Amino acid sequence: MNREQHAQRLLYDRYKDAMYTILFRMLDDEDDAADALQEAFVEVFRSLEKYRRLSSLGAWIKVIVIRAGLAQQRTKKLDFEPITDRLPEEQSLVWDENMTGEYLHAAIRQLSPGYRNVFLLIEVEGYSHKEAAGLLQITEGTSKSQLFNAKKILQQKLKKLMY
Amino acid sequence: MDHENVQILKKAINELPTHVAPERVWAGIQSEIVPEQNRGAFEKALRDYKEPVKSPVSWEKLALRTAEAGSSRKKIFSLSNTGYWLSGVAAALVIGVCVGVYLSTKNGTKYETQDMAMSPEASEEEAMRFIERFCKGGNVICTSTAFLELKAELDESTEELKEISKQLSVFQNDPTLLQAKSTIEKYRATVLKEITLMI
Repeated sequence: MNREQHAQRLLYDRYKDAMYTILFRMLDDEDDAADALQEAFVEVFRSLEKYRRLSSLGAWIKVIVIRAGLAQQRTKKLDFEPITDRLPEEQSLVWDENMTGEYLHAAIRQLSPGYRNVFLLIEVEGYSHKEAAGLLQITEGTSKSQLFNAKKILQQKLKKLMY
Repeated sequence: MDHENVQILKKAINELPTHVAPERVWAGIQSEIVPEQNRGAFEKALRDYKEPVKSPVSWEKLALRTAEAGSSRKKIFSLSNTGYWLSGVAAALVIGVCVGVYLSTKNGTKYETQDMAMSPEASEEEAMRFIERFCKGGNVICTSTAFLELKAELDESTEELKEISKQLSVFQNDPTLLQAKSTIEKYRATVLKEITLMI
């Protein structure tokens, strides 16, 4: 292994599990997540010279990883919920205090990819609606309504899982 | 109340299971990236390549250089024996001259070529003298590029031989120098044969 490959391996080792986790949550399949991770890091190493330090290296890699995950979803032709710009009704979302990570994980897996993407990007990865809308190529309003719907469906799933 | 509600979700999110990337992913990345990098390195090396500039070689290093380069030097014919080729040179000259005499007699024109005939046992010195005499007549062959290149090779090897002989007188029968001398002599015989075939 030469010096460049060694440096690449160090970078990969630093981020691989965190990025694989994001992809696994998005794609809900080990092989698909592994394929997307490979594509993403090939892209990272090819484009590393273009990294301009406008964000942290991890954030820059994460965007590439998410795009690879979305591309993988498109190749799989997964069913997405129809997206509407209808704004959510004013309704409070109350989470059950007995909800654990395991229950939430199981409920997220039952979401359709469209809702799953919005929920994961905004609530789990911390992107703003604007950023998530940019990644998902939807409007900010759609992002907001989709997140609300995703949460409502999650609550229904959780109720079934927990009780 | 709202704050507590948000905290419940955050706590559950923090508890979400994490996953470990399979080891095979790295191998897949390498299989795509390494050939590209190798190709890139090769292309860079090609871009950075500069035509080597021929540097003058000191006479002190000549003997060793000749010995090392002996096998890779421009080969016109493979040689096993210097004397054999010198005989060949002489024979070629005799045939060439005889044909010349025959043709000139047939056409009714007399040329002074008979004097330039060489015996098959002609030595290297005789061959050199013959070439000199031939070219003194202002023959057009002697000004051709191919002839001049061969003549330059011959002159260069003459100088090399002189230098090696000088070194041999100092280092006696040094095997490396002797080998270099033999290589140059063989090469000279080849060049001589080429020249005589031209004229």
